[in-house]
Amino acid sequence: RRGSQHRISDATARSSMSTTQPGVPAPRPPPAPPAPVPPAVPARKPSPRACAALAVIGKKNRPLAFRVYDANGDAYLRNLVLCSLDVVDECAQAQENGRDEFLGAATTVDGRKLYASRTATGITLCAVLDAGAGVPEAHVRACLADARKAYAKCLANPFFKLDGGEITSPVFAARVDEAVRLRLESAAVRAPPSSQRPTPPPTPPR
Amino acid sequence: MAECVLSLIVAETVQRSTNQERQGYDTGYRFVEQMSERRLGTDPLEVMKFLCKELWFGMFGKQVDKLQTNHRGVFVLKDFQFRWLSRVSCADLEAKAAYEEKLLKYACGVLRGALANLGLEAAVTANAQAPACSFSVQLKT
Repeated sequence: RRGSQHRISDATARSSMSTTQPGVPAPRPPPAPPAPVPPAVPARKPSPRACAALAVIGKKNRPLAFRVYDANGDAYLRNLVLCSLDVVDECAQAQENGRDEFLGAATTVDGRKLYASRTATGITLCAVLDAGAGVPEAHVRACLADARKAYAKCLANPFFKLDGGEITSPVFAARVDEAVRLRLESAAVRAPPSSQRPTPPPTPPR
Repeated sequence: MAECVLSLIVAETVQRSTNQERQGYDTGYRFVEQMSERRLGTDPLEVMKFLCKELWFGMFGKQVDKLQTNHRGVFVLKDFQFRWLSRVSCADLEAKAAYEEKLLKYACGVLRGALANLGLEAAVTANAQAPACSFSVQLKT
């Protein structure tokens, strides 16, 4: 402590020696900046999309479609969905007596929730959502129902092959994207980024 | 009016295709995807009831009139006014019999396809005395 004090006094001595000149008053410390006024509208910062991916898995766990909305994690999200299918199976079996297609939030991984829905025909639809986005479940249910209707329309095309390969139809992709945009992105409650990540309290100087 | 057009389309399809059963299978498989709004469980009776009520209504605007089962995997669906057989006009009785045979194969295919997509493998045969029709479904389990 003595050393630091010594250094500080040295610094002040040096600074005073350098700045003081005959006839020139010591510079006043700059006025403290005004306290930041919280903006009326939350600042527009790039925030992650509410929905990271929407997947359609066919029978025997064959992936039929993957709409990935997060540019960074394409392979990661695909793996996430495919590896979570056993949990979805468990949910489906647990709700064996239920008549509802929607299975709810199957699992939460890495700050992302995976919602699933399984149709009578054995098609599983999964939506990977950002856990912090706060999308109400009713919207996710509606989104997955829309995606299922898009898939049914795909099947209604007699030229669409039932081999089980990936769906390449741009119309299907557009329908699914529209469903996600309408149901999930617009419904997401976007908390400002500062409140999501709590700032650590400032450490007191020693 | 729309029903007439649909009947015409079905009639044409049935006449022109070489394998009516296979075509019907494809149709049924795809159609049931649009029909199912809820999960059905594994009970075959539930699935058959769905077929009789919702699928039939979706396709023909009416439900199956009678469903019988021996609870050992055999179901009989009876429709006393089968839509596709109710307005058949052909040149003579022979042509009519031939057309009806093709139509019934198509209808059996539709049922088989629908059941396949719902997870049940079955063999379907039909017996008709226009306009009444009965389908016999034997589950392969």
